[in-house]
Amino acid sequence: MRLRTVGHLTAEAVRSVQDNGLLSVAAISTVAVSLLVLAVISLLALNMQHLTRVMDAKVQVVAYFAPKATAAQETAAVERIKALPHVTGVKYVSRAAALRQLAHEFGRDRTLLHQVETHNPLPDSADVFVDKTGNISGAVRAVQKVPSVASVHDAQAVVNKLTNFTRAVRYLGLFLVSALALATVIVIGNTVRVAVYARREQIGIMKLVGATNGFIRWPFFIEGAILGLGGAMVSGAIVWWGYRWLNHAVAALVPFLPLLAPAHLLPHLVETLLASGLLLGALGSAISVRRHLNV
Amino acid sequence: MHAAWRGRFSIIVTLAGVTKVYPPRSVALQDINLDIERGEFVFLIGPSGAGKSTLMRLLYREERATSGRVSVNGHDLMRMRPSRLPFFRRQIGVLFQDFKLLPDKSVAQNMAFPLIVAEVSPREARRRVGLWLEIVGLRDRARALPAELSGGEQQRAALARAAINNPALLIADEPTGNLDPRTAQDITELLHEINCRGTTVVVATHSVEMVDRMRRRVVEVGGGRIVRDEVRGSYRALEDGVAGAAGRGLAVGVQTRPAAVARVWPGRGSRRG
Ligand SMILES: Nc1ncnc2c1ncn2[C@@H]1O[C@H](COP(=O)(O)OP(=O)(O)OP(=O)(O)O)[C@@H](O)[C@H]1O
Ligand SMILES: [Mg+2]
Repeated sequence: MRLRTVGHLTAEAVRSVQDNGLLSVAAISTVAVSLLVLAVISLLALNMQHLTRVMDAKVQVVAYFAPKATAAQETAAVERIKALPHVTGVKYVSRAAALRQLAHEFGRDRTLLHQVETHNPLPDSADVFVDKTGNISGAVRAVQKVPSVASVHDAQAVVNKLTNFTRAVRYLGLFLVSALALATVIVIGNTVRVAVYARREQIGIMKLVGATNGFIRWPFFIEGAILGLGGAMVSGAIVWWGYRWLNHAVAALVPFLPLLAPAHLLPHLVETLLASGLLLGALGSAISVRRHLNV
Repeated sequence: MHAAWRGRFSIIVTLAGVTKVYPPRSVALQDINLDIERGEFVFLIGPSGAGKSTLMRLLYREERATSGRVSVNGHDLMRMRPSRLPFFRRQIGVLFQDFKLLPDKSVAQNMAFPLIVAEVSPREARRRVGLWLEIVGLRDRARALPAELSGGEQQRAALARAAINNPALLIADEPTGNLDPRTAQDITELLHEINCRGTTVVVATHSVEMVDRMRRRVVEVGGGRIVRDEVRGSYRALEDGVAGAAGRGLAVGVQTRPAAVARVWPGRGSRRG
């Protein structure tokens, strides 16, 4: 096929998109919503995975000392914990140090911190490092029995919950995205069906003057691809600006929540969205053309 | 040897023992035998429902014959692969009573349409559109939309579109059916001009004046069969009294080998080159 023919067929497709008016808008909106859901779920899953990894890399078990415990009692407790099986290291954290760490994580938002600074609610604690993830619950039980230890925080339990939740989001997302992809294909297919119907007279004339099947079909493929790509661009733009905005907002309000940086994430995500839109659009029109265009 | 060569290259349309049945059992054509030579101008006449349109649809392969042999411009239409059909259609021009112009394209764009489809170069396409705008006298209306044209102008645009690919065969199904006599005559003259340029023309019509003025080959269809085939025919077989009756008798006798009669038609040899 020659380049000018491609140009002609593309121009026909663009005209058809325009002629279809509201229906084209509806199709583009559907694609945009579907891909937006895909993007939100991807961002959620990726960030939760990231959060899990960050927490995993941090302390696994924290022992909080009783408020009445003396310095000597706490030192003795640290020694006893060090001696426990599977424990590879213990790091003592005074309540003052804990407050400084919190202050660091809160960053610029000091109003909340200022209130707790006048009366530090944090106890002294010890970060406990365990050799293997599988030994954590055993270690937690052993640490709980050490005198002067008031409570033990099992960070791994949180990580596990987070991991499970991430998995659930992935499966739900997969289901939701498949359903929406199907809806998108159907809506684009329907739009193309209407376009085929609107052009049936022209198609008849094209056949009469010797147009090949490809020549007749291509504008409809291109039309589907345009609708898909149009929707993808809308969702891509929303995600592009939306995630940046969210990132700023989160950094200001909940600074210790580690979101993935937009710069690394968004280009790939938007690329994926555009490719998906194009593909879904072409697929929808291909199915529709096969079913409704008897050439 | 010589006769075989002529037979192979001078005949553009052959229908042999052709029957067309529309499902479930509407018999439109029965045992049709018809040869048309290159360069001929043929009128297809007959009452409504006789099978004229059906016969023409067989020629551009809009319909397939139920049985028999259909050969057009060297192509066996009974065996043609669907993928070859578009390329066959580019050798044929088709004209209808209702013009069938694309309503959202200008006159020039409508005329250029078969050229775009055939991927003719833009320069050549412009040249041919310019030429045909001139021939059909629509130079001033090139940018107009079909809705802005009179019926006669629309049919002239449609005629230019049908002829712009220099088809070997032009098929016109009641091309003047929607036009007043004066406009109809313009179209008839254009068809004659196209015929003079070497294109074989087949016209189905109910127009007595058109047939009687032209005095060309007349093939009359009735009840799905060819009932008359005259070399220089008129619309009504009996219009010349006894001579007409003799003509009818001749036609019936000639029906099986119309090409033999067509061959003695004076003046046609020069056009065939
Ligand atoms: N698509 C079709 N399906 C079924 N029957 C058809 C179809 N087209 C034509 N026929 C029948 O075939 C017969 C011949 O029809 P055709 O249209 O060829 O006649 P015609 O000579 O062109 O008539 P007119 O002068 O009115 O145009 C008629 O009996 C008609 O009812
Ligand atoms: Mg008819």
